[in-house]
Amino acid sequence: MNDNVKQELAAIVGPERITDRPEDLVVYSLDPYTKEHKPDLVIYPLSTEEVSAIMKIAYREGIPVTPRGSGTNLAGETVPIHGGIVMALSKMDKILEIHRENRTARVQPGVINFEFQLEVEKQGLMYPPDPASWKMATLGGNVGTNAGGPRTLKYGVTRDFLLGLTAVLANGDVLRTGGLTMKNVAGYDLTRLLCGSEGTLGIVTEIILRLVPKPPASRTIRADFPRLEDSSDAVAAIVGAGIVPSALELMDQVVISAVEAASHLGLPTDIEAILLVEVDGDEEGLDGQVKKIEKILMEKGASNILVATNKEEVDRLWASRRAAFSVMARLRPNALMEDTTVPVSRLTEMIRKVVDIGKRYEVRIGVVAHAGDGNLHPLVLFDQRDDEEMVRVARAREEMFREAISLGGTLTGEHGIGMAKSQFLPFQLDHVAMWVTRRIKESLDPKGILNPGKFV
Amino acid sequence: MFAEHVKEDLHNCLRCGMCQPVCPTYAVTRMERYAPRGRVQMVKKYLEGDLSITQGLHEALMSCTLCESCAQACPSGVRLDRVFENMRMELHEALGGGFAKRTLFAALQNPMLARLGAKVVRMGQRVVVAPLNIGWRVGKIPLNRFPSFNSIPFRESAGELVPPKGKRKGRVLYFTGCATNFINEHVGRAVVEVLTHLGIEVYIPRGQVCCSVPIFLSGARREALSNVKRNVALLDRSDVDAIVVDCATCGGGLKKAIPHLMEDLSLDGEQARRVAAKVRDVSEIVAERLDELELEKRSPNNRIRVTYHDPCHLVRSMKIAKEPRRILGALEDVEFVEMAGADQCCGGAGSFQFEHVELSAGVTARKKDMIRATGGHVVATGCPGCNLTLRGNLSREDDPQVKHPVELVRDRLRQRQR
Repeated sequence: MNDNVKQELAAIVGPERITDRPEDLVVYSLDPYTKEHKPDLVIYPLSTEEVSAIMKIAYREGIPVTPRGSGTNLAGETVPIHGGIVMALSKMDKILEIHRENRTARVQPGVINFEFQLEVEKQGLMYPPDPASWKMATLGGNVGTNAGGPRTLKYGVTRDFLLGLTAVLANGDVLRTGGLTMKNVAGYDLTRLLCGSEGTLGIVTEIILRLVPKPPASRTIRADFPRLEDSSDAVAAIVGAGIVPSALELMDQVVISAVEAASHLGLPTDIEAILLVEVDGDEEGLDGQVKKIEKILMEKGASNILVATNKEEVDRLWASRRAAFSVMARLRPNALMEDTTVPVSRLTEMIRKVVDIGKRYEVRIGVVAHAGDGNLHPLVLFDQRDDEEMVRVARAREEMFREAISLGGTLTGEHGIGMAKSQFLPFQLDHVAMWVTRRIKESLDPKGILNPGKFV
Repeated sequence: MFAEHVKEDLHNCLRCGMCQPVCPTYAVTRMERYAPRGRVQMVKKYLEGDLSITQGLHEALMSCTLCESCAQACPSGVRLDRVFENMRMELHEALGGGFAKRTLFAALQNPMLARLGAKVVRMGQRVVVAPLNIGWRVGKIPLNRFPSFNSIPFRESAGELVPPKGKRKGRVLYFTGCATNFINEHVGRAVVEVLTHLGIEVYIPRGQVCCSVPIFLSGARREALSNVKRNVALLDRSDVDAIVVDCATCGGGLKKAIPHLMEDLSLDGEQARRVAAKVRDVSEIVAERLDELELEKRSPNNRIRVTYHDPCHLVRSMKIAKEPRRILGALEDVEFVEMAGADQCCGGAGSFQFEHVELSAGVTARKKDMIRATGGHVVATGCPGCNLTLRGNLSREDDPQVKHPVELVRDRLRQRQR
């Protein structure tokens, strides 16, 4: 990038919010994925106008631009693989409005999910999408990846809470989609088109979100299953009985044993699965639901059931699930959290396949899952310095993706395509879907400068 | 020199970012160069040869408050505190420490020089700053809000051996640290009064010198060794039940950082580990003997509201959080109010607040809001560094006073008949 262009860009944001110092280029060259590439420049805009002015210059010069929030995404979405500009939106972190009567909020993209939750709760409201990274991930990043989380089962994913967006297009034009109303059918649903597009169609600079009343009470149940099949049968039976839990989480034997070895929580290590079920809502209805769930769990072969009645017990039950990632991560230097997802009825089959794949390729894989919606999180462990092991890891991942698709599932439930899975996208989308996808991309970003090398 | 066993930690960083939300400097800047993950990756790239030592790298690594929150939050167990300590040594050995720091360190390493320096500063405070009401600031703190220096060092006025009151129940060695010795003699007196009240004999060896934490955390690890070795040899004795500190930094240093330093430099750490095992914060001793305290009757109707700030070195290096709170909870006329974010850094971090003024001010501003939200009359904290920062920055009429928890206990001791 020549110096005149850099100076032109610096004039937009001032010298403090633009950098090409070598250390800054290094720290914006990476995210949790395994690949790295340095940008030429990092810019921290504060407004839609600044983003637009930057994009006009980038478009004129054909400079790649990669938007980034906290960079906690899991599929390499924010690595500037073709260099150019990293548009760091982390400083655009204002909550512009929380409207209690309308149950809506307007936010800038750099607001942290968890901090937003805390503000919303003060008004007696809740924003359901709760990705595991919620303490660090930005709402803009959540929109970019259409993030989910455990509560998704009952409430839905990010796109289900999006009412409108402001986004800057590749040529610098400002696109406004949707609005402040729950109902709105004017035109194509451009809001949802941008959601999950990983910054390849536009750079989101403002978000209008829908909120729900915060449920006043909840209950948590843990059930131990000697047989994996029985646990998934139980999941299907709970959902089939018309109960909609706010969370339904599963841990497999590898994870249970690892957690118990590290944290001594008193988990039985001779069982194949633990289920955690949470229901929320009005106090009155909950005990009845808990009884129903307990009955189903017993009938399906649970060897032990624990019901938490106060906050301390709830925390104790969740402790094992919360510790899972950290305990597993300590077993080997590197980890990739996958998110292959299958129809709920195929859950056990998929977990069995993952375990088998791990054995065959001699790759250590532990499975946690948002069981209620068939969303597996196989945690693949390895040492990146071992080239031979990396080959086995790559084969194991590819086979996992193929199996998920053959069971009617998807490559990715909630993490996205990014770099990690772009080569596998054609496994899942047929040539027509790929053609439409490419035409959309070409018409909005004809020069291909928005987050190139990702997605399509 | 970068310790080999710490290099391995760099390969365990998953780059997940779970360290971001707990980092005080990232919260203020929202820039990756001020986030733990960013700093760790810089160190990794430096060791791999992709980055060289520059002022930019220096700034990124020295603008960390070393609060250790990131190390506590890391799911992979990366010891970020040790990564940064090793990297700071590399930077120091390549770039040196700067004139101001070199002068301060020289003083801290030479007791005679330290004593002379303290006298000069005290003179300056009394003769120049106070009467002329000079509006200068150091960092963000107005000169006239700096505490005044002791007229003679505490260790000289306190004597070397203070007998217990009543029956002797134990004997401790009191490592006073420089802050108590030169500035906060009122804290030293409170510690001695409370301990002797509990029947504990207090031995204050004259030969102790600066713990050197400020020296080696800035990267001057080799330079700190003479003090470290001298202290360790002096403190390693079997005739005391504990080595008591009133300063979170001295405590964290003796308990954790010094054994780490010895390990990283491949020196014999046997003696340092023996000392570490005996180091206790004064709040630990008081908290386990609360029922032995004879306190004045105070009316619970006239309660003062007290909140507590966790010093980084106390809550994370020494893992002490419950004890000071138990003490405050035991005082009849104290209404203890927990502040949100009590364990978040105050932004002082020793010389950090004078070298990174704006960054520090941003972190401190968050802390001030947390403290003010409690509506407290007093903020208790067991660290002279936090005390300096909080006292210097809480400048409104209605702001709380800053005190060591032990001072609050001392103020309530029942005076015995002699």
